[in-house]
Amino acid sequence: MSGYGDPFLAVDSIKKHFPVKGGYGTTGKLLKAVDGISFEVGKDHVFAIVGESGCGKSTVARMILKLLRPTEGAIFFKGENIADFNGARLKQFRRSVQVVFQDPFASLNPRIRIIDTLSEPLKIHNILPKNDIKSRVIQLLEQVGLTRDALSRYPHEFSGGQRQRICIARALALSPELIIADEPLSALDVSIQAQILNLFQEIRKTSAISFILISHDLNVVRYFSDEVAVMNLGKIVEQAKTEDLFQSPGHPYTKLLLSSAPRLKYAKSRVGESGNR
Amino acid sequence: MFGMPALLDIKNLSILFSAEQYPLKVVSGLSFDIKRAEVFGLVGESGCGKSLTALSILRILPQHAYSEGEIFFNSKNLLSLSDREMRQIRGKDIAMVFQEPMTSLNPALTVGYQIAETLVAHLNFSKKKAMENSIELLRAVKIPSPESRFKDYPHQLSGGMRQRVMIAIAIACDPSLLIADEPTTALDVTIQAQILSLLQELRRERKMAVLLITHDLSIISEQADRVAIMYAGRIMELADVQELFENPSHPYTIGLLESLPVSRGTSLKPIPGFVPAPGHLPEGCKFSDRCFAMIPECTLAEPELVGVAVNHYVRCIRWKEVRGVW
Repeated sequence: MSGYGDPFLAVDSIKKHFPVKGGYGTTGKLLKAVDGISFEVGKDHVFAIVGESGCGKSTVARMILKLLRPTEGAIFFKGENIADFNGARLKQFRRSVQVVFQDPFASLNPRIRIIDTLSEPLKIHNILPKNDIKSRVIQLLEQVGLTRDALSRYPHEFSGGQRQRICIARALALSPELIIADEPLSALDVSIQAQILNLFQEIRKTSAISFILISHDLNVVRYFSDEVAVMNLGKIVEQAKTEDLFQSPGHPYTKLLLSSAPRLKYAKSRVGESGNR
Repeated sequence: MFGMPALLDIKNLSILFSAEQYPLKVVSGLSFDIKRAEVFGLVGESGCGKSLTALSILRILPQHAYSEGEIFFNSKNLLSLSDREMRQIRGKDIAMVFQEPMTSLNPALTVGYQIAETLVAHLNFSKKKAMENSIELLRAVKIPSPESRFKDYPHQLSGGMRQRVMIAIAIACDPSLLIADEPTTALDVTIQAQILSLLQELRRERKMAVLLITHDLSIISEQADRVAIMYAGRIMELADVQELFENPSHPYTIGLLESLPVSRGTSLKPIPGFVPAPGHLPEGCKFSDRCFAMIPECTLAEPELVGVAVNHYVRCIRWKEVRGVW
């Protein structure tokens, strides 16, 4: 697991069990959403978690974000246990770790203008003098491919892809070290997905940000990640370098996932071509 | 197949929404046909009008929307039938499976009841016979232990099982056309593969044509016999599946293909911009504002759908230059 240098983020056998109410007259059960998983994410790396709905991948994300407390196990961010963070340290942690959610329609406040959405984190963390905030917001918008016209507009005036850009701009506002992207493309059309993927690539090139990409789309994972963990029923069933996993999947469940994914038939493969470019 | 009339023949179909000042046209001059037992794929991004097209075939467009043109089904124009005549076709000869298996079943009724309902309504089955048949239908869509599942309510079934129930309802009266609108979008990949192979099996066994609507090019390339690519309410390209993917000749089709993440590290070539709102489409070719091959002539007049090869039609004046770019 090592080889990336210091563990930037280390997840150590975390579990999350939710009590489930039993039916009338029966005792409750435990839902083992995440059942003992460990992995490390290197600095400036993209770690992908794939799995089908209900496998626990989003629960893992929420524990790393410290939105959920693990039932067991611990998560270490640059060597420190995030469970111990509170007060100023927690605020600092929140600044370093940002999230982009799946549904750009649900993750922007419809009643506030884009400039307020994007300047809010800057104000809360008080990292810029008041007079500089607007220019920083414009810079963020430009970074994600939008223009300053967006400033005084409301979320409903934007398409899904544009909203996702705004969400990404918000995540970038505080110059985070880690971005957790939970199904960031699923709600978008194919041509827009490609735009957002390119934007992620651009962000990787220009700033040293690690990503945890949570996705069910194997093509996207293969395209963007360095390392993949395949989750099923709360456990990691296989973990490997991305290309290795796709070239020679070991676990039967991984094989099933790979063989189930629809593949573009007939179209000339561009894989060979790309090497010559 | 030659000489036989198509099962479904859509001619110059437009769908309009009545708005305050003038009606808003969201689908414009659509023409295509579906042959018996073929899988016809309709591909496009959200808002291109593919679902509205499906709804207009069954005449279940939302309020304020209406269609113009002709839709021939077994040589009868569906748009000129009375409501009563249409009701006899809807759910019987033409059935539909929707995207959301969670919301398209009635949560208060058992799945068996909901299948039997169709049989009683269309085939005048007795209740008892309808129930027996429903169990057979559950078996046909490969639901394990159908005898006990029959009495289940939708919430007791998983998403994939619910979609199977939806398919069981759809095929209950042996339709000759099944419209499947994003039938697997809400499902996981492994379940998606099962549902798609079930649909193929049913269409082979029952000689049922399928209108498969999806935004997923990979699914279309694996499942369809012929494909139409829609953009802004128009068919931009129409061809046999192999020809379409081997020789895509419309810039939009190529743009979609180039948007797919294939090889690692290379930068993708997304289609720039976004789909304009209906009513704000560019002059001339509706794709011209996002097109890599645009020349000034493109904005003068909207191109016709022209034949470029056997069974291959493209709506682009520059198709000769574009063909071969991919």
